[in-house]
Amino acid sequence: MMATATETARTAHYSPSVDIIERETEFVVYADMPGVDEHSVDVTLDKDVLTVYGTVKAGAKAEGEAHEEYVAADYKRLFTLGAKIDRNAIGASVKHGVLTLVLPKAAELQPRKIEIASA
Amino acid sequence: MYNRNLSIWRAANPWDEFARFERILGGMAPRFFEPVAEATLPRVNYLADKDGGTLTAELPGYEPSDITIEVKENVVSIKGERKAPELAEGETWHLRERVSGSFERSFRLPHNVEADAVKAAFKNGVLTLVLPKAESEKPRKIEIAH
Repeated sequence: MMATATETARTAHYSPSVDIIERETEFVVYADMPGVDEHSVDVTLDKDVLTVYGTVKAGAKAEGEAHEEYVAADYKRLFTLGAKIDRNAIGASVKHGVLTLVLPKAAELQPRKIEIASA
Repeated sequence: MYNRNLSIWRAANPWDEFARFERILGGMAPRFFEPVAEATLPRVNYLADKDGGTLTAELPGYEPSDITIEVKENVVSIKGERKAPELAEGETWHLRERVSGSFERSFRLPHNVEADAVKAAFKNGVLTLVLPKAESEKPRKIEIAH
């Protein structure tokens, strides 16, 4: 790849680091997206593909000496959902630059307690 | 339990990962900072200006109370800790990429810092430190005696 650091940053998105946990009744996704808030993240579901997109404002330009380990850039990551997930009940929140998605399992897959009818 | 290959989840577009990696490798060579091991330490930018400089650090998911900042002469130290999500009995990891635990990074700046005038802000998981030059380092205009 011949692209320089800045050219690459302009055309690419960060793929945020993600944790995914399966709890009894839901899946929880945590995505590190420093710089985003609840207004700058879009979560969209198209068929089975859940897209997370976070928009980040460009950082300040260096006037003098600079040391840069990151370039402020947008975040994007796609997930393919399985049949287990209730698509109508997905929740999302953002705190301190971490997006949390809660994806409830479809009702028929949730553990159910069967009541024993009294005799 | 940790299972990266579970079929219901898969991260699409491996090019995103590649582009990010390449961008970091192609990044500016550190001049007054130590090298950083990608993905284990928070990433930091530093931009100098005529009054000093501004340091930003990506600390998503950290609480401000879990971040410690120290400034002495020209060295700025940042310490922090964030905990991994806790799993109860019967809960399962499907993917685990986020780094947790504690870190400490120190930076030697090109100028001494006026420690009392440092401003720190934490917003959306990004720490911003405004680090003014020490008064003793600022250029002074010398009047010519008549």
